Amino acid sequence: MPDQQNKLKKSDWIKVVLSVLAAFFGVQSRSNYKRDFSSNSYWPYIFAGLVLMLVFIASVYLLVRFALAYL
Amino acid sequence: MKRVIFGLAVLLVTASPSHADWTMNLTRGVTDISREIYDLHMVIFWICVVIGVLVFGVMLWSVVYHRKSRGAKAKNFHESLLVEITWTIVPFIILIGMAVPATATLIKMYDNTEADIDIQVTGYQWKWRYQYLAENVDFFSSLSTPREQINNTQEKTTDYLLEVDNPLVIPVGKKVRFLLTANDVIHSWWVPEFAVKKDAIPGFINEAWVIVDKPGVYRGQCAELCGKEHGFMPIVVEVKTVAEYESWLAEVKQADAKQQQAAMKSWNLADLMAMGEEVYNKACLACHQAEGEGIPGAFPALKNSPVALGEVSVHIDVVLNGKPGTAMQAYKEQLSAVELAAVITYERNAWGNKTGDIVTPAQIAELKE
Amino acid sequence: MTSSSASTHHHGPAVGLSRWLYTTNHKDIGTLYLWFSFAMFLTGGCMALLIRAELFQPGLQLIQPDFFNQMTTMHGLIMVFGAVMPAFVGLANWMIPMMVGAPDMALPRMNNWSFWILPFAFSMMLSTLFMEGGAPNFGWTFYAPLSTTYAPPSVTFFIFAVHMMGISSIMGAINIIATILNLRAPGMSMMKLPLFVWTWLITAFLLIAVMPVLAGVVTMMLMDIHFGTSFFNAAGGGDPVLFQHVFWFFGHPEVYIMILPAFGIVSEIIPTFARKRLFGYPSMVYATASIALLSFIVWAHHMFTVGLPLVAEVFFMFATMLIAVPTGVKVFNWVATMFRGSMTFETPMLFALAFVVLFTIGGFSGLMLAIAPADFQYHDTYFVVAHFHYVLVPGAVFAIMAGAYYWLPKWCGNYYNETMGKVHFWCSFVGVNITFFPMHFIGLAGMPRRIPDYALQFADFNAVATVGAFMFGFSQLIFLYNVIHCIRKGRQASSEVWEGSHGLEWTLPSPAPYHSFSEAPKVK
Repeated sequence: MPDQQNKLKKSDWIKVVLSVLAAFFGVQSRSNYKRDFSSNSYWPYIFAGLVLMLVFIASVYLLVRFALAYL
Repeated sequence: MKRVIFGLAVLLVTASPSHADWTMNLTRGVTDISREIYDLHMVIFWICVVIGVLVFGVMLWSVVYHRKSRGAKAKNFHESLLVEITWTIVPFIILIGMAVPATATLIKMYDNTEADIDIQVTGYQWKWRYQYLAENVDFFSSLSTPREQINNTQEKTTDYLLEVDNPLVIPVGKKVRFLLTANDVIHSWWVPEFAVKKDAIPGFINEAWVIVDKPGVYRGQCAELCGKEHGFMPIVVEVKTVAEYESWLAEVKQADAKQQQAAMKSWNLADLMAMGEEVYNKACLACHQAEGEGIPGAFPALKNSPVALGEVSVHIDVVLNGKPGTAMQAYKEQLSAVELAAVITYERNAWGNKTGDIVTPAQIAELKE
Repeated sequence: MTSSSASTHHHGPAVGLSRWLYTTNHKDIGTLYLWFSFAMFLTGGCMALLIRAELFQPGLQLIQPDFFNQMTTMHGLIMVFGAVMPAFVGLANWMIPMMVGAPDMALPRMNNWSFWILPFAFSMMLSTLFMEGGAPNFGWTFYAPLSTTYAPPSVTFFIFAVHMMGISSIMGAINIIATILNLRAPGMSMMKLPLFVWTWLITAFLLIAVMPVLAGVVTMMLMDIHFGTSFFNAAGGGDPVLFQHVFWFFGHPEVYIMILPAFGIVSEIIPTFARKRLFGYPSMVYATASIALLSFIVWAHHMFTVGLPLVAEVFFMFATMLIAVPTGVKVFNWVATMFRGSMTFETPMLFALAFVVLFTIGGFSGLMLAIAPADFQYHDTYFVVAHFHYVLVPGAVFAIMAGAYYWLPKWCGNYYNETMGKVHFWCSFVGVNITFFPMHFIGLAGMPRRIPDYALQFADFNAVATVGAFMFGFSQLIFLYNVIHCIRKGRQASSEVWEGSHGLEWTLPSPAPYHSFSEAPKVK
């Protein structure tokens, strides 16, 4: 439900981002994932996941640039 | 049957690396890059072995000791944040340790600058063409293993399928740059001892380079599926001392001049037919088959074909310039005037194609100008 | 199966051929998928045996190079699209509704259609073997321009067949997603889903994302062949390497499409026979999702030798190495599940254990291949052949067999013959390793893949591999016999089937009734 998004507070977004990062990493504490899976909407997670995926690709690219410059 | 038993028996002793005939590992090769790659290969291999021993060790331990028949009772743990974080981070650190030297080697491999010699390598179905760009030396290199060995009517020799008529020759200790491209489909030029493998792509030029420290003969094969005879287009590189390389260059140039003179002499039908058969077997047989019967749907027959029985000029045009959009290549550059005249004459007079036409080398030489 | 007289809606299957043609029942369609994939497995297997027989000795003995290339191409296509993928869809059809507590798949008529496209697609593809010019002979990766300008005329039929397979896969994937997201029983929250369901959910998204890419690339081929475009023809301004980029953008996620459901099956089986809950369930889910996302940014590691710029080379090397992390997590979790469990070793467990070990070996060689400089030596050699056969045969295929043995008593109400199952396992296990392990050596020693004849120094290991291939191939007939035997008679199975089984599917009687969960079960 997209209207749910508007209601998310700043601190909630930080939690979403942290959860998505934990998902990328592959490990999440039980209490956190219980909280995540009891939230009303999955859209914030999908949105954050897509954005962070792009950030991830960009950071691998920067890492490559860095490696080529200093090796 | 003998082979089956032999195979099974030998399988049991493959674990011992002392068995010399059973090459099991990557070659160390004869260049700095190939040795670096070998070292990377061995490092990552041993990392895998260590991880494997640990993981499979724990698994084997559980399989042996935590089995129900031994009275093992299942514990109830099913998560642990600490353990999970550890076994995510540790492999990550190992991978970083691997990525650093690998990237360093890759940077060296990509340094194509300051070459002493440039050679253009062109892949054809199914042979290689080598052009020494500064030297006006240009030749084709194709498989020289006789068909009889492939078809098992003759004993196979040591270099079976890894021998060619005209090997590539390069000098030792010089930086040789290869400019790779292809004429028809994608090929891949690979010599394991140089650790050079680069795709030869039609319409594009790739670069690779090598500095070989040891004279010798090094063999490789085409590594990208390129059609029917993909398994039959080897690469042979002779690495010579600089002096030997220079004299080889002179010889090749002399031989070229001689060949051009031969076109001017007059040839009779019997000589052309004899030579034509030889050329046919080398250049045409793979597709058009031994009796000129072709392969229906893939390669047209020459026996009783409208081209071989029709107008001579059309026949010459097809052989010299090829047929765009099909597997028929242009042979203008690949064969000498004498060879072209001979093979066209042969195709017009063999297998019951009795046109009686003679195509003279002089005629072809004129067209080749 | 007698229908309850009280309800006119609850009826058993129709009789005869029409039952199978018109069925919309997820169990029937699952059965069709599984038999179809087994038939394709044997067909592709016969081709593999022909290839191995030709490679038994140096020299050309049985088949000529052009036919050899047709065999390698058809073997690859049939095994990937005809055997492994439909087998997973078949297992999904059977198990997902029962696992989530749904009465059937969400879109039963589309389900029927997505299956019945397949026999036609594969008949068309196999018919190319009898056409003038022969079947496709350019390898299952069909690189242009070998597959366009230089292809046999039958390539057009191949393109049409690939389109049909793609449509079938996409519809299957839509159906699976719709079922999992909409038809879960009350109380079956996402994080309670069995792992097989989770891995299939993620796989289905991968399928929807990449099958259109495959369709796109074959359509571009079609245009190049028949309508004068030059996507892959440098002379017309195109680029042959573009083909490889587009193909592998499909091809790499495809690799995970073939392995993620296998992870799911193994994650079901190991806890059952270790009598212990799966270790790290959430991290298993997360790792699956991570692998799926990463699979979209690693495609060019199949193309390290095409002359990519250095930046791209390093980028794809790093990204590929990263995949080792979530994959490693999975293996560690399985091992931790077994640790301090109470294990028994029935046939499904044996296959699952072999999967863990042999798939990991395939993962190791994959890690080696990820090191770009070393890949210049490995690329297009038998080392690669060894690698992907290790992840696909003792990987995907062993997982499918493990799943078949594991759920067979639930499907037909009888246990399979355990002794015969174990014989099948050991023959397959030994056969697979004799076949594919020596390929590491011949690859490192320098034998290129896809060649019908080879230099003498490769002869000994090739002979060994051929012996192993025949052993593996013929031991599958034991499996066939065992399955038929199990369907006809066998020891009656209880509804739990296995002592340590957990989940909704084991609450149903064995055999599972034709219509199950007509009323949604309650999940605690």
